[in-house]
Amino acid sequence: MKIKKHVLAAAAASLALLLAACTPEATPTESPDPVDTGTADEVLTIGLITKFPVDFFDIMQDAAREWDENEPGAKVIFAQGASGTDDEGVIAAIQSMVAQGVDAIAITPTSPNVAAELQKAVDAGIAVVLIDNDIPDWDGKSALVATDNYAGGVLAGEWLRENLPEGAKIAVMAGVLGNPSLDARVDGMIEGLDGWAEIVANIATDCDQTKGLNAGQDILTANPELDAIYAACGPPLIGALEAITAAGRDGQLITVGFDASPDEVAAIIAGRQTASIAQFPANMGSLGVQAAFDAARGMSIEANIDTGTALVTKDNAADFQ
Amino acid sequence: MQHTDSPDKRVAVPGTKGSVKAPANASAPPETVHPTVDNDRPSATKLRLVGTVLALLRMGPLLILVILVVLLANLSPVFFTTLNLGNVLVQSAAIAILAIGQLLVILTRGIDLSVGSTLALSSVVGALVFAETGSAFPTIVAMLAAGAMIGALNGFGYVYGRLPHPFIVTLATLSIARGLALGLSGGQPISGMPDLVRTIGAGSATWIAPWIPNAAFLVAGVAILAILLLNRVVWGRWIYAVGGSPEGARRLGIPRSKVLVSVYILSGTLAGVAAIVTSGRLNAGSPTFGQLSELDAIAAVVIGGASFLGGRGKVSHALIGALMIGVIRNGMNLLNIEAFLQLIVIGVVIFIAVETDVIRGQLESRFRVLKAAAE
Repeated sequence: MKIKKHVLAAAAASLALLLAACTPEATPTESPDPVDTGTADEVLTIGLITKFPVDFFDIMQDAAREWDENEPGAKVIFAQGASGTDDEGVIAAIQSMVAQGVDAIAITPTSPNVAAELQKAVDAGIAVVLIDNDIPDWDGKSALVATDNYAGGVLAGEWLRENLPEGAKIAVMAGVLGNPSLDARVDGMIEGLDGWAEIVANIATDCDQTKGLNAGQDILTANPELDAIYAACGPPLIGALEAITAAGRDGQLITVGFDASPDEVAAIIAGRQTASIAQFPANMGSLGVQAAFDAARGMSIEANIDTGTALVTKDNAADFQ
Repeated sequence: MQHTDSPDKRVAVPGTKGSVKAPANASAPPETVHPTVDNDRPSATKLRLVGTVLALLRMGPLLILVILVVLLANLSPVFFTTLNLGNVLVQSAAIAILAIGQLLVILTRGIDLSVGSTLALSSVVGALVFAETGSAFPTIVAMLAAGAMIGALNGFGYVYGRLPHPFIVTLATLSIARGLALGLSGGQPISGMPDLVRTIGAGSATWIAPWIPNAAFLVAGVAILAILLLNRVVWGRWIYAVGGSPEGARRLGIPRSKVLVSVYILSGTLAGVAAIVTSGRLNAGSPTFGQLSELDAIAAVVIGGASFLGGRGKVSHALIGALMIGVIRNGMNLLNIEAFLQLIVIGVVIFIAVETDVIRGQLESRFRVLKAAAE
């Protein structure tokens, strides 16, 4: 018993710290609006579950919160996992949402492993909208609200085709094996590149900065005459930039990342990185809860709602800071 | 049982001893059954054979590493170049430092699951302190202190909090440290590290051989200190004793609690040292650093033949284990081999390395029996 208390205390303390530091408004804040709009008598509750406390998901939550303030017919409550692969945490969040009697769930699934739990929610009459990542084989979803990663990859590939000489050598830093949206970014790029450049390496980096640096060193060692690197996510490319600098080839390679994270945008402005594909997490947040709201109200909604991608280069990087 | 059976087959004296008798021999030295004259020569041959195999197996992890290096050098023209060997050294540095800390803990029959998260926390704390002070000294002190703090939490939590197994307390701090790192950094990498940290992590020894990364010297320094601690200092012998024979250690009046706390603090501090390498390499602190690197560290120690039951393991072998992981990842990247194969290969190597060690252990006891028989 005593032991249990220790562990629980530690877990509670870590959770409290996390919540305090990262998501100060994670608890439901919306006070029921007394004004009756006439469109709906009851306020529908929508649960938004995001992966873990980083900027990307904070922006999503903020947009959902803003949407909530302008939509008196809905109340949004929030929950979050502990990491990008925290299936258990996300499953617990789904269960707690169901227990709270939500009418719809909008969720950024950590992996296809959460589908069974989502199906239970659907079976209980709760509409589920997936945000950001798809679960391709699961047809219980009402809609997928996401960046069309394949289209984003094509955008990157076409840009690379325009900016590289024919037959140039390009290395690909893939993301996490088995993650469909990250794979689509690579497949799309290859489609957009259309054989224009030779892909000399294709290495999975788990979207990890250190692995990106290691892979960058290894790729540059095996291919000293490399012309370009394309990464399916930001962190490994940021790591690879260090390898490029160490190899004395600063600014000589074309480097294209994905996500346009603050780090990447700073590197683009500094001239160390060439380009990145930006996503719009705010659109995911607002369009995600809107779709969940509409589905809960029994309206028909589009199965795939694209939140858009854009190419970020030095010319427009300031807009993405 | 085996060791009494096979010599007979080699001597080819059928009928002198049936297999039925073998179990009776198992515990007793063969010479009590056979006249010495009969058995002397074959035992000597056997002794030499087993001795040779043992000599090879005793090199265990080093042998596998050498095989891997030879194999990769043949498969990739760039593998065995100074440039790439430098890459391997710097890529293995953080794992090697974590593995040395992990070894100290495993020697006491413990485990430290928190080192990857501690590395992340330490890097974030360092980046924040540097952003505030702009100076190297407080940054490095803060990074080591953050590591030592999590280590102390582990040690005191386990020993004085009387948690049943270090798995639990370090699992808790794995979560706490990662959470703190995410919270303190706002979930974002923080760019900028002092020049000294950059030099340690990303610089190379231009004064001797520019291909040798400075991080390799740091690893060597940490390894030498650890070897001195374990072999030349009483405290180090106590670390072995506490894990190898807890009851004996208690009877000898070894301060078990203090020894245990010390290894967790050392492991945490070394996670801080590993953070200096990683942060220096990437010129940043990030809450996502060191994901799953606790498992790399444990794998390195296990590949190096350390016993999970404590009391047995060597710093040099843990270093070889870390290098092996680094060599596999590097070689696979050079050869552009798909990532799923990397995972499989590392698993297979762990399996082979530990199996080799098991076989070595069996041969050691057989060797002792044969030796006794030959004398």
